[in-house]
Amino acid sequence: MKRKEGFLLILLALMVMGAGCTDQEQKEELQTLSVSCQWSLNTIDPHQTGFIPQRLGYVETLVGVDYEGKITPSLAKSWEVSDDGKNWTFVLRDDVLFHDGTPFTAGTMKTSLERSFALSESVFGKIPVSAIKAPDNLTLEISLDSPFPALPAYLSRGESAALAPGSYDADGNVVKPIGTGPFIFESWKPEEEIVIVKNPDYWGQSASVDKVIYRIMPEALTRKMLLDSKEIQIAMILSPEIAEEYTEKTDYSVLQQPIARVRMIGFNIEKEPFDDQRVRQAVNYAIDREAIVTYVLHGYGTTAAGLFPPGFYWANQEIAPYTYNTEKAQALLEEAGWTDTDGDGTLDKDGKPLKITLVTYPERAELPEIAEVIQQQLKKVGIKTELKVLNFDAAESLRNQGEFDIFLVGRGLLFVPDPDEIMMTDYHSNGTSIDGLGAYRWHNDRVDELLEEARTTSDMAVRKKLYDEAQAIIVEEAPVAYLNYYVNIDVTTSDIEGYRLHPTEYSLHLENVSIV
Amino acid sequence: MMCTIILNRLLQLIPVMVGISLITFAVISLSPGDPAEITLRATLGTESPPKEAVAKLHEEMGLDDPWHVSYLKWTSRVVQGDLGYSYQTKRSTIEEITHALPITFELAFLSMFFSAAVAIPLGITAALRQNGPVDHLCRLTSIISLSSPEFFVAIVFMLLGGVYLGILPVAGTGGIEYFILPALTLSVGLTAITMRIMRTSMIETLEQDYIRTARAKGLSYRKVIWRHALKNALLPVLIYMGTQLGWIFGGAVTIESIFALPGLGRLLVNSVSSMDIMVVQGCMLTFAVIIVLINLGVDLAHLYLDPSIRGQGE
Repeated sequence: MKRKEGFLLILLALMVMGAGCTDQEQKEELQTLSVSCQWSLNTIDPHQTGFIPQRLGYVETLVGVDYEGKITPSLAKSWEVSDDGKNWTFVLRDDVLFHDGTPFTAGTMKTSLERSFALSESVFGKIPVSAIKAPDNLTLEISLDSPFPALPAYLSRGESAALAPGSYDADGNVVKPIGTGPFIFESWKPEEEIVIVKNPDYWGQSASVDKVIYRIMPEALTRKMLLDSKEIQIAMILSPEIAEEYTEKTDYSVLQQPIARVRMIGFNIEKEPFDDQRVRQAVNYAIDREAIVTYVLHGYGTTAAGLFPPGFYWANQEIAPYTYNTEKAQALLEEAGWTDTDGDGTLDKDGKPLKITLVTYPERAELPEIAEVIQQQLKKVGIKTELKVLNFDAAESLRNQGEFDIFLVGRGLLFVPDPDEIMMTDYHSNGTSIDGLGAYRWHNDRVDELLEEARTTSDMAVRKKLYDEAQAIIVEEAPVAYLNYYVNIDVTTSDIEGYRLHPTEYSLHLENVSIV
Repeated sequence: MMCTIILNRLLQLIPVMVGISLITFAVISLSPGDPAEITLRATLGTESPPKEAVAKLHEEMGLDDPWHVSYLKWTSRVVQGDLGYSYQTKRSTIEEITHALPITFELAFLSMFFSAAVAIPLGITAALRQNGPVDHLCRLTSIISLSSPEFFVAIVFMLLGGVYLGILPVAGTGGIEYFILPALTLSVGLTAITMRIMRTSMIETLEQDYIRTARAKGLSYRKVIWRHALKNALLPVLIYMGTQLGWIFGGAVTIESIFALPGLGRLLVNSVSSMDIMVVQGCMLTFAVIIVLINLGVDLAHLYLDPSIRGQGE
């Protein structure tokens, strides 16, 4: 009896081992890429939450965004706008199939877009759309009530993705998103993972990996642990402290990319001392931007000259940055009438010491630290700074009431990859005169004129010229001082090739990634 | 007799539940966001529901009424199981919670099991060999584990089990293996205290007269411990562990985020950080009800196990 049992046991063990082997072999045939990020998908419907579907590449939009933040053709081959700026005509690609094999046509795009506009009003509500027409299979016409040059930029948002009619159930709810991208949606577990597989019939470059598992991990530290245990190959959005550990290791690569988010200070130009342009410029010279990046941001940041990071198409590359120069700062302050007459180390004018209040908020953890560094740096040129760190709502309301001298803020720039929105809200007098986070109560006729003119044309080169001039004026007059840009840091195992971070986070382009 | 005591306990629950509901209601009323609009967005599948519909639902839900009327209407909805909708996922709060609850329960019971399996034998050993090497070691480890924050313990376990040994998944969900590291993490603090209580309780029991009597009548030390001492010494430990179940549910809030388990704790964190008020209220109520029920269960168990309390009731 005993012997029989032992024999059976051995047999069982062999069977298990055998099963293990076949499993292993199958895995080697199928290349799986595992990535992890904190962003979780709230709904299966890309028309409601589109950024993850778009980043993962299971849906696509009419237009794309390249690595300079410029609009590029995607499902639309080309587009043009009528002279009055109200009629847009998009010519669609003729070689696109949805994942279920149905052809992509102007008719399906029209239905899909109409659904997008209805479901994601917070994204598309600004577009003055009057009608969407599909005169033939490959032409899509969008008519507007008034000119809106940023239309293509809006149509690069994932919420405007093309979905096949088979994606919906009888009530019109999405049950399975059937898109056109290089990957096919396979499954989704809320707060856990999204699985996508390669689309062999993709119209563009086919993916190299067969399957991608996108794992949702809210803590950066957990993503690091998963990377260390080789459960994933790409850990996205890590902190500088974590990334530093990998810079020395040869079996990992650290990638970083400045994104369209700037840390900046806004001046209260309605009262002394910052009603004087020279004092604002003096502060610009007195801040050591390099030191902030090195010591507060552990080197993971890029010092800022203008509004947009230098890699962006819309950035004015000619702008000369304010370099750290305390002598220049002091000279400017003296010119403005601020001198240290009583020798106490703080400048004064007409008997009043140069004391200012800096307001910021702790929700972005690095801001209070940066505020402390600025406080020290301003002290060197004789400006005494009082820090007020309040929660965001409280800080914002202080700012809007004018109860501040300097407001330190992290500002997202490209909600859609077009400068119109941020320029109008933060620098046009219509935007600066009301509550917000941009230049405070600042008004410049020439900038207003430039920004308005940029709205009347759809010619990218012409618009860039106008925005370049406006950016230069802003830096010169200094209603704000740009400090540095946010940087995304991802770490991959060294066998990953072709992975590149996108400055607007438009797509992960995993179809270009291969495991070697 | 037992029945009246149980009834009494149940009646005592009423003011507690009213208090909880008042607090939850206050939190919801003071939070920004319009419950009527959130509900319509979810049910109609549109981002900007028609104004008339919002106004109508406002009236139905009693949002513009004085607070006590509004509170009563809210309570009647909650009692009927209508906890509203998540504005983020457009699913109903009940759906969200039923999805998350089993995960948190699995985590809680597994960590209870781990802590019991470790703490009770060690506590007994420490008590039987007072000031012996095991006792000293237990004292040291319980001080260390009590003073280590959960976040830190989680990382240590992740490193050990997931990275260095590579035998357990670091984080995520799936089979039971995904629950081992988070449950161990949660059990560390609990084990430390349970172990101490087990030790003290055992020492106290061994000093009782009836133990001496049992020894005097010639029973072996082993038999005395197993048959007489253990049963009595375990009682306070079990009661303590019962009340700690609620504490474990609280600990799940951090642990579930670190280990990426989609349980109730993570749901609460997510909904608070995105101001998803209907889900926040659902989580608050669920946590409160669970803790109240656990305490009730512990009380009743105590009553059942310890006849002396029953005597007091009479």
